[in-house]
Amino acid sequence: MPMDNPILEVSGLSVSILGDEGVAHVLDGVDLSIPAGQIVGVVGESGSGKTTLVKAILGILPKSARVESNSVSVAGMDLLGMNQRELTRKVRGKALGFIPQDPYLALNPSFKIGAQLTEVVRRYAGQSRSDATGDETGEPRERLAQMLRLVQIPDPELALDRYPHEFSGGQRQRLLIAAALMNMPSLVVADEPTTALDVTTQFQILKLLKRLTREFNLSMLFVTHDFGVVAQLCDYVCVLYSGQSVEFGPARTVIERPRHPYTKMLIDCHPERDGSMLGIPGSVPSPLSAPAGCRFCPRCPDAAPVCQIERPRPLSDASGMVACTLYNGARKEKSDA
Amino acid sequence: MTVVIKKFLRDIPATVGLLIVLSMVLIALFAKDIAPYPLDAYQSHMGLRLQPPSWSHPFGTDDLGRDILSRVLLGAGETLGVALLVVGAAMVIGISLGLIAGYYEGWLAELIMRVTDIFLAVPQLILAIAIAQIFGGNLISLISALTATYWPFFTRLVYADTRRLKHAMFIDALQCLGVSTPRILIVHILPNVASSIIVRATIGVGFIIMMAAVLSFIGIGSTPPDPAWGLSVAQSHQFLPDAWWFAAFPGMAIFLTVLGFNLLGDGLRDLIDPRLRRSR
Amino acid sequence: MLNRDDHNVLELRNVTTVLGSAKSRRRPAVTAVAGVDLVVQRQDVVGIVGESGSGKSTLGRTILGIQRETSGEIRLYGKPVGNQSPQEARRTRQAIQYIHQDASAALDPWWSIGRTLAEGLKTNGVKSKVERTHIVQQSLNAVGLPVDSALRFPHELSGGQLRRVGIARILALKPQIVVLDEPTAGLDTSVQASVLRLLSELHREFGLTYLFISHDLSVVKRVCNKVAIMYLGRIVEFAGAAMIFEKPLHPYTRALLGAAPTLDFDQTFDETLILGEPPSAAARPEGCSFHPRCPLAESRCRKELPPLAPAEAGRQIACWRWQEMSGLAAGNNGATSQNSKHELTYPRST
Repeated sequence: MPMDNPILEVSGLSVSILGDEGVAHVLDGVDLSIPAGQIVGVVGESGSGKTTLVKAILGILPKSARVESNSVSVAGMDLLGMNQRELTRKVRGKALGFIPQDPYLALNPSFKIGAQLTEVVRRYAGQSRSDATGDETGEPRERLAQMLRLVQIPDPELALDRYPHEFSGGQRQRLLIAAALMNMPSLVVADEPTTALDVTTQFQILKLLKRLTREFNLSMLFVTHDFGVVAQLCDYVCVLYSGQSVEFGPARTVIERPRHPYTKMLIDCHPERDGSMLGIPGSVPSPLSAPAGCRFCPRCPDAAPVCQIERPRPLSDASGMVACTLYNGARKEKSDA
Repeated sequence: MTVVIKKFLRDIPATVGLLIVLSMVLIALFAKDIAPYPLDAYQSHMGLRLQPPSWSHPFGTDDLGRDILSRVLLGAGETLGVALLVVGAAMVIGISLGLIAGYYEGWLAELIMRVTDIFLAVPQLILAIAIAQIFGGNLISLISALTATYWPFFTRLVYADTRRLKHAMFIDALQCLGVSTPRILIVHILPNVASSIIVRATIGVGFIIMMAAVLSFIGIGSTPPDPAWGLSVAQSHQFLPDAWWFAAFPGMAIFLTVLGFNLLGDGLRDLIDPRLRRSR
Repeated sequence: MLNRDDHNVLELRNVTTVLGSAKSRRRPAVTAVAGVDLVVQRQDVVGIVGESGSGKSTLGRTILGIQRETSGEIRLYGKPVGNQSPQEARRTRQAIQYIHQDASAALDPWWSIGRTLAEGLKTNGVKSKVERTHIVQQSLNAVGLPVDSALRFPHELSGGQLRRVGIARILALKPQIVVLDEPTAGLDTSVQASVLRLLSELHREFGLTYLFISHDLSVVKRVCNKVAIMYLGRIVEFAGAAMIFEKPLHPYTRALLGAAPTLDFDQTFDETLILGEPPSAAARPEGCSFHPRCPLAESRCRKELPPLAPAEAGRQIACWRWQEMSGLAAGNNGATSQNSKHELTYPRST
């Protein structure tokens, strides 16, 4: 799907991690692009590699990880070429914002909110203490309070002097959103930020995120396992399976007319669709083994012999991208040959 | 099992520690057979006083002409024996109290922990001396005194871990099934606190050896002519720096043993990870 | 999942559970369950739905007996069981078993699966080792796990497999009532479906009665025949599942249903249906617990606590203004009600 000036461009990203039991190929040739001002959801189950994808973009993969990629760039900056120091100074907190999953763990219980927001910004922006302006909290208080107001924290001025435990889970998540947006980054990476929240709170947070991205023309990469969340929030969705991107397209198109068999089956598992409760038989292949053909083939109801031999070439068209022999003509080739 | 052994052997310091400890234990058991002059535990040869290391006496001789090598080998038994007994007894007392205090809340737990705090507040050497003085300066009272100073360390550790585990979901699940409390404590909680206990126990062996050495310095515990290492070091000080071998070799033995136990303890602690257990 | 029997398996009358104590500084007294009336009939699958602070987990544990209720009456097959120490309660309520939310945390990491399963049996009187092994095999079989799972350790199994182990563990004890605490939480969607199917099969095969605690309404919709919606320690609506999902009346129920992320792109959710932050049981509002967040709150709601009382046929609701909601709801969808009527026994209102 052609896109001009994507904010995030991931091309051919492969990550393998060396462990006690061998080499785990956690991501295998993933392509992903996020257009400016759009929200792209990344849907995957356990073993899909979605967490690794986030870590790769943020540059926080473990030392035992080997990255091979054509490029990973944010706002035109190539991330793979940078070392940690450059990433900290130029990218994190400035071009890139991060909303973590667990609002209970991400905030230090011993420090006030105002100090922590400043700290987060300063650390990610790579500023030293002497760079900061304003009073003892570092950042000008007014600016911090403004951020809190933006995320609808009541009494922002007073909130700055409170401790994390004085806030509810939903409010803490808002605080983390505020921290991520402090410098109005070009791209916000959100790693399942609503998974730990109640349904009603999740709804409010998703609404907030949608409003903020529209208002400030932010782009967002939103990792989730829930297609319902994708429907509520995202403009586009990418489906990951066993380290590979199997389908990509506008959220509504993918959800209402899924093409890849895995996407179809996964959406059917959603409580709103499924009456028979079949699930998806089988299990995700281990990243330690790298089968030659399509990774979903063993579990796929539409499998053909050609699927076992070669990895399906992605087909890009007006509706998006799908990597399946049902669509890319491989079956016809096989029968013609 | 093989996974565990392999992982341990890959850890070189731990393997070194294991070898040292095993050697010491073997020496302790077979000293009488290995030592070149086994009778030198008690016999003196005044004509051979304070001879420097030589072929016939590789570690030299002490102020009573006794072969130091033999005495070091023979002393292993007493030194190690005392240390292991003390740590063993301290573990039994300390762990039991820690489990009870950690699992049951209320006045009993408070009482146990306050008593523990009191014992910990007093410097151990003073405490050991005080207790030993009350009960006489022999080996039994030394063992009792040292045990009394060491059990609180285990209690504190086990208390903290038990407190934490008490709220673990699998303990809750066991309660929901109706499993009895003693069984929960011994069969479920104890293995899961083993990690801290092992470290504390192995450090303890080293520590107790040192303490016993210090105490024998002032005449409590081992008495001449015991070949115990600490006592030898104590007796040697007046002959320093000329007869350096008198202090050096027993001192080395202490050092090596403490090191060995510490390394072993570290290595064992790394193994206490339930994820290493495999079904095949 | 229909009732076959009018026999009341479980009855709760004005049950209140207070956690912590007034004297304790670290854990001050919090009324987690505040006067719950509930009747469960044989082979019901009752969904207990609520968000954090609703008290649903505490209610489950109170029913199990591991949490002592502070006041109120609990009857099991007509016999009162109440006010007992956790140990006594476990003995008298052996017919009730509990499946934990976090399947992997509920297993001792040092023990093999087989040994863990056998322990429950040993505690509950199965003396012969041979018999225990046999029952363990049967239970593993019943939940669809291969027989060699008994040799494995928890860290070697996947989330879905661990969930099945948790089910096998209590199945071995031949329960009649099972309290399931968020049985699908943390599972991948594709695995959730198979676990739910297993639970349905077991329900049919062994004639079990389920208390299905969950915050996930969509899961509850799939398996439950009755649903109790809890808010701040009270049941605010109780009705047959079909009724609740087609025509929710209590404002909180409507908010819950509306807030759930839906695949339907054309559905809009009226944001004003729920306002503000989730409640804290430590600071309980006067009158109706929901009034600070309710768009329909009026002065009566702020002063008087509405009791859980029969509304239309087959439904109980705790709201002063439910009739107005009923009028609103009737306009929303013309879905017809399904299946047969769900028999509900009404406890005496307080």
